[in-house]
Amino acid sequence: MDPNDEKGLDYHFYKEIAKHPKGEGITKCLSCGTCSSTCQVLAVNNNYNPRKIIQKAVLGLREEVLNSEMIWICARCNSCIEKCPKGIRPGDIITAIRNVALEEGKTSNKGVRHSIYFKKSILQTGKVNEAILPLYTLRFKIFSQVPQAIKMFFKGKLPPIFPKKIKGIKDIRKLNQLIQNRKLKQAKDLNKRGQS
Amino acid sequence: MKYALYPGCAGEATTEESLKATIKILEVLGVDFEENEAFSCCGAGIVEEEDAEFELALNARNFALAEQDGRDIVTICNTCLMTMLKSQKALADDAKLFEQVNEDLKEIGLEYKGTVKIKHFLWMLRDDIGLEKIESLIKTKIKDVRMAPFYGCHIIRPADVISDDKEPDFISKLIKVCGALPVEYRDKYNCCGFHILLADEDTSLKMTQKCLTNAHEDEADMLVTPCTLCHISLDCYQGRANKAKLPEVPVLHLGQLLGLAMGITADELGLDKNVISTEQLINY
Repeated sequence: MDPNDEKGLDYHFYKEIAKHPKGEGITKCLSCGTCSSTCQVLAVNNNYNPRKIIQKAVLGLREEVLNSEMIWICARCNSCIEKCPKGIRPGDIITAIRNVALEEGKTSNKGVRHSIYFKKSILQTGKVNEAILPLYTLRFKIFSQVPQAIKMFFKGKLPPIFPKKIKGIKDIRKLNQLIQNRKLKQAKDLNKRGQS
Repeated sequence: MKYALYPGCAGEATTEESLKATIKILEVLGVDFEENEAFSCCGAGIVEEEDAEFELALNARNFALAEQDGRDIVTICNTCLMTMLKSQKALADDAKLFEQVNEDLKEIGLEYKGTVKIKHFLWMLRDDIGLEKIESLIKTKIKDVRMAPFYGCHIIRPADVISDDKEPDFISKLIKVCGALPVEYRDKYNCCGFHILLADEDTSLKMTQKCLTNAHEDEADMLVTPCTLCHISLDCYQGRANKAKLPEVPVLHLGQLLGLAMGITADELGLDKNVISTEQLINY
């Protein structure tokens, strides 16, 4: 069944979000706007509006939401989570939308690349490489950071490009392997059940 | 009480002065602590966007390592604190998840029992050391400086994860004990903008600028933060954030404040590494 209607709306999008543990709340959103009124990002940049993002997701504007840079500029201050009268954790819903965007393999903006780099780096050294993270995130826009980098350099604060690996990095990679194997198996089982 | 010190990525690199000062304070306080070279990144609540199970496994592994040594975890990064507490809560609330994580850990020879306590350095000072002991170690009071606490988000919110209702404004007490004047600062529980510094620098710096402007409005000479990430935004990026060209606001890490009042030298506290000069304090 193709959930997309002629307007390109995907009415099942919110269900996809709700499948993620952090996104369960989306089915109960009243769109009251308390999240937006308490949002510390919106206070300085009203292009970001959590209520609007969640409402667009509920309406089925799947591609618009998933490709939007806006879903990546929640600063995770958790103010909305504290104040939501329905207790549905709007900030966590944004995280669930990010979950879906990453599953879709989006790499088109800074926010999504910032997110992807964390796991990559942890699998390499066990920690986040703070020297490479800005490069990976900003790509050629890294040049905007040159004055800041010079300042940090003279303070002796530039993070090392080749940091030491943690003791037991192999264990981290092994844990990841175990998890990925399990996910594959779960997906296969789900497939089988779908067929029978 | 025995601790495993968890500095977080920033404490080890960009804001190494906060780690240096914290270690110094732990030594002066006579705390039994150790750094563990096997600790990994906590995932910062960012890894979970791509792979929640992996973030949980990373944290469970760190917890198991600390338990193996019979130590509680103490951190100077708010985001590490929140991420670890969140993982711990997820594992405590879901027996199946707990079992599954332990099955994985068994493969690398570890077990997470659920006994390790996770604390912020600030909470350790408050609950395990106590104000009295800290006060007894103060040698030179910092006078005539108006200081505002800047807590940062992840040591306060979300309340169901942090669940710390013991003393909401302990930093103000520490400021007072050190001889400075605690300022009632409107942004003390607000966000510095750090987490979107790379995703949207303009917006992030506007948030930082708001905090700095309000520091002036509330007549604070300095800010004190317990968080290495707030330290990056407020100190390292203050020059870029300060578009209105307001006078600079020096930012101290909590350990640096205590260290100064305990008579530890500026050098040992890494004050030369703070981007905004703290010179006015060195010869106070």
